[in-house]
Parts: sequence; structure tokens; C-alpha cells
Amino acid sequence: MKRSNVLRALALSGLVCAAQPALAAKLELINIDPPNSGFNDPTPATPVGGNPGTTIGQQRLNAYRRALELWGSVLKSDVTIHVVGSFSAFPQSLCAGGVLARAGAFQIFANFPNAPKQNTWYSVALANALAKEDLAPGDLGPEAGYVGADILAQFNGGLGQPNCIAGSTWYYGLDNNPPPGTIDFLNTFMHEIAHGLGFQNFIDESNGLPPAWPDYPFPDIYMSNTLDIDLNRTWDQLTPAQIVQSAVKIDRVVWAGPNVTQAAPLFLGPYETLRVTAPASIARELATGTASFGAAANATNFTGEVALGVSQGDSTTACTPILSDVAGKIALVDRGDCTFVEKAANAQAAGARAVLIANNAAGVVGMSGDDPSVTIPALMISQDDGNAIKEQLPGVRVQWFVDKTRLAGADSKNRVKLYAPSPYQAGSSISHFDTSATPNLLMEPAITTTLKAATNVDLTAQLFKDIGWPIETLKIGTCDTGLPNVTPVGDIISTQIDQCAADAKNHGQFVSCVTHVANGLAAHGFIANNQKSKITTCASQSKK
Amino acid sequence: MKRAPRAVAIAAMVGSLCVSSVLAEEAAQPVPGDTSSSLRVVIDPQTGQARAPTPEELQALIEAERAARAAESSARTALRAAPAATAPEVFPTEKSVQRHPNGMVSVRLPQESLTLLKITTDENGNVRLVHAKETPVAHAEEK
Repeated sequence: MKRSNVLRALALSGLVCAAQPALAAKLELINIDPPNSGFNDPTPATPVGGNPGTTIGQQRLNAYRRALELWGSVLKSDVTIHVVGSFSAFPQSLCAGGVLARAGAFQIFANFPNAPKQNTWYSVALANALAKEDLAPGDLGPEAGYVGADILAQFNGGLGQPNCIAGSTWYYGLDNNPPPGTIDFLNTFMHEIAHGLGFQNFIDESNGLPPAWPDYPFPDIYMSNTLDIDLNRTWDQLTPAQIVQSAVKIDRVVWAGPNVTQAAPLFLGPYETLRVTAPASIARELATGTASFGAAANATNFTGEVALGVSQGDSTTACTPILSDVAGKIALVDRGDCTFVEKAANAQAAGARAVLIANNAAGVVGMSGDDPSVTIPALMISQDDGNAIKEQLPGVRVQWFVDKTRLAGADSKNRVKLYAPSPYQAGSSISHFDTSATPNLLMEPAITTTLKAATNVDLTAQLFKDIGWPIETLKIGTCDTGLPNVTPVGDIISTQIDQCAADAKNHGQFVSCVTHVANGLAAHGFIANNQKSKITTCASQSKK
Repeated sequence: MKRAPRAVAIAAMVGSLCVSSVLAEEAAQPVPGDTSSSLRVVIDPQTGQARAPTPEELQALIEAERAARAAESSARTALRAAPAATAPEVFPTEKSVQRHPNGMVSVRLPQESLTLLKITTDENGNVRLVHAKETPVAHAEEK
């Protein structure tokens, strides 16, 4: 391993102390795996992606602890957060269901000392941080039922075994750079632990009842920020029946917290979608699902006349060569019978400039697949929209447009949308950001390959601020800059300082690198010019 | 208020009719170091409303708790005797509510509160990680 890589690995492992930020919020792993299993798996492994572990168990521990360190560097708490973790194989019943992980808070508290809102539930880790005392002290083992534990995060160590989701493997690198076909553990764990830290509500959205109903009919702090746009009321003000109805309002449930809303324009891209421009009777914006293959839709390649793609036997699923005239047009075909890629390939072969795939069910979904030979763009539209277009053919025109006055994934007031599909999805609805956000967010229900949680937690940290989490300050060595360690767009500044420590050959280079970081923060407006010195002064005082 | 028959109280415990399940300590057998009080509530079969249990119902609840605790203890002993290589179940199956002397209230959450992360794989081997239990967010290709 080259020197720089060794330093980087050590820095990422928290072993380079001289320039490392002190991590005040301590998240401590309670390893409950038996010997030779899970975190204790002695199977030899080659160091990967900055993870220096030489056994599978060591790599799991390093990656798990790195995620705990990262959240610990963002959130501030004087109380140790005890995370019960395991990496042993899941039972066959869970393997069969494709379950990779399960996580959540052990307890919730209300009316604790220093509670910002009375009669409101908070997850135990947040309640401890706000109370500045351990509200749930006690044994951390199974004998007493883990009464002192705060968060559970179990991962399926059996992943990839013949009887457990064969063909998939975890990637334990710390650099968010997994090879194709592997699952980035760090991103996954950063997401799961965020749920345990409070990125979730505790209500039963199937009946609208809070967790201790009827004795303590309290809402939780997440509900206090969950807004139904139509009712213009947050969920803590809704009846159980209204909550049930609100939970399935696609695009009509948003996060109302001021910190997320303020940061949204800094992170989210402009709103863009497809709309029907003619005939006027069906002119409207269309909900679309994007494809993982082909070109990205833009105003050039996805604007024009729509023509129905018809194959032999009057089939409109485009699973065989399209015989109708779609050349130079946007082919409209139906979902079903073959892969999305095959449909796009047949449309392309017939000369279509793009392909619209009408769903065969309500709503739209993302379309996966991979075929480099497919170069035309593909979008899915809903079954209803597809039928409306078909009824008006020929003579239908669509246009891809970008509206820079709106944000992708937020409403007109920059409030970020929460995931509210219909039908309701247990474990997914509301306790995630909506999938319409662009770029992808860490706390969308589907964890995507574009996430870089090793260095950036996007809007998630702002949501934590909204529910009351104190934000940790940037420390270099023992020197506290007094500045938040996370920017409004989620950059974890200490990871950039770590990188400086790993790359610099001497103190001068380290200070120069940190100065460059400070200048960048000021250039983006994340800190004031007169605050740069707080960072550079701390760097100068470090032992690096 | 009419007193509910003993069988109802047992059903309220065993059949998960308890509004607030009761894993907190009994007065006769306090948990060392635990200063919290427990709350026991049953559903009145006549009114359908939650109310405090009658002495008979309370005794039935305590007996049921004792039996459940003994079963849990046996299971833990077995687990310690032969450590399993599979991930253990950590959360309780039922939630329990506690009111503390200082007015604070807490809920130990049940297993069903955990978020499950699942994987879907399409015909081309592309994987998607989703939280939805039945309907994936982004769909795999279809045949």
C-alpha cells in the first residue's frame, strides 16, 4: 500500500489523532455477535477502499464504526449513544424475504427534562441529547432486555450465501466506491442509523394512532414537521383518520421544518418533467419514471410528436419489432411481456427518437436495465396518462421542460416532499424523503449508487436540526472552531480535514490544505470570510 | 362500572387486547435499580374503552407476565448455552409503556417498529435497496 493510502486508511479509521477532529457525540457499538460470526468472522480479507481490515469481521467493524463516527461528528450529545449491532446471518425466513438489515430506536420518551415540546415523543438518543442525561441507563446485554441500549442496527452477514440472496455481496470500503454488483455498506448503514437517530415517525399510519394510544395520545417530533399541504396543518394537529388519508397523498405531504426548507435550494436541482402541449384538451404535466439505460431526457430529445408503437398482431408492448411509423417520433408503448430495455431497443430500431412506456398499473416507477446499445431516452408515464394520449392520437405533442423556479423534490415553497405513495407502504411511507428529489437524497426509500455518505449527508443533517438535534462543531485536534461541522448541503467538513491530514507530508502542507477548505466554504457562503480564521487557526495549532 | 369476568382479563393479556402491554416490574418483585412505575390497562368488553383492571384481572395479568418472563428466561438460558450463528431477536414482540416518577413517559418499542431494508434484483442482476415490504419503489425489469 502506498504511503498516502496508508495514511488515508488510518485517518479514516480514526487512528491519526494529531489532526483528527474530536468526536463529541459518541456512538458506541455493542457487538452481540458470537465468536467467529458476524463482526467476529475470522475469514481473511484484502483491505479495500480505505478499510484496512484483514478479516471480514474486522472490515465490518471498521465500516460500522466509521459510520458511527460520521454521525457522531455531525450530531452533538453529551450522552453516549449505545448501538446494538450484529452482522451474523439472518434467519432463513428473513433471507427468503430479501432482508438486508433491520434498524430502529429501542425506546421513545416524552416529557423528559429539557424537552423542547411537552407531550411529544422523541427517540431515545435525541431525548438523551436534549436532556443531557441518560434517560435509559442500565444493562446493555440480553439478560435485562437491552434496557440501556438506544438503537438497534443488524445487518445480514449471510448475504451472498447460497440460501441467502445469492449473488449479492457487501462492499466494506469507506470511500463509497463499490464495484458493480456489490452493495455499499457505508451508505446503507448511514441511512439505517439515521432512522434510529430520529428520522422516522412512530405512528401507525395504517390507523393513524400514536404509539401509546389512548393513555398517552402524543404525536412525535417528526409529525410536528410533517405537513399536509391540502389541510395546511402538520400531522400533530390531525385526527387519526386525517393522518391515514394524508399518508397516501402523493406530492402533498412535505417536511415543514425551517432548516431543511432553507437548505433545499442549495442542494436540489431544478424541477423538470414532461408535459403534453397538444391537444389543449389533455395539456398537462405528466408524472414520469426515469430509466437507468439510454440517454437522459432533455428538451431536445424528448420534445415532439407521439406515435403508437404497434407490432405484429396489433401488440403495443413493443416486445417484437415495431411495424407502425414511429420514425423521428416519440413511440408510445405499453408496459408488460418483456424487459424495458427490449422495448426501448425495438423503438430505437424502428427509428423512434424516444420511447414512452405507459404503465399497466397506477402511478409510475423507475425502470432498471442495462444495454449500452440503447441510446434513445425512455420514460414511464402512468396508465391513465397513457390512455389519455392514446385517445387523442394522432396529433399529440409532448415537451420536456425545465422550470428553474421550482425544485426537484420540493413544493412551490421549497418544502421538501416526503414519500407518500398510494397504497401506503409500511416501513417506507412518510419516514423518507420523496423519490422525486434530484440529486438523490440519503433518506429516500431506495438507496442509490449516487450517494456519498462518507463525506456528505445532504439534507438529512438539516432535518435532524429541525427535530431538535444539536449540531456538532468542527474540531481540529483539541481546538474547537465553533463552526458547525456540516454545511447546509450536508458536507461533513471534518472529512475534508481528514483528507488534508492523509495527504499532507508536513504541517505546512496540512495548514495550506485546510486553508483551501476554509476558502471553499467561504466561497460557497457556508461561512463568513471572517470565520475562515477560526479554521485556519485551529489547523495551525494542530500537531500535524 | 361492571367488573369484567376473569376470562376477559386473561384474553386482554394473551390476545394482545391490552392497550399498553406490561413488561414493567411487579410490585412484589421490583427490578433492581428501576424506579419507574408500571401501567396496566384493559379493554372493558362492555364499553370497549380502556380502564384500570379489577383486582382479579390484575392478578391474572401478573400471572401471565410471570409465565411469559419464565419462558423468556428459559429461552435466554438456552441461547447462552448454545450461541447461535444467526442474528438474535433483540426487540420485544409487544410494546410496553412506563410512566416515571418525574412525569416522564417512555415506550419500549416492539419488533414491528423496526425498519426493514430489503433487496430486489432484476433479470440483469441490477440490485435495488428498498424499504417497501411488498411494492418496490423502483421496479426491476419484467419479463
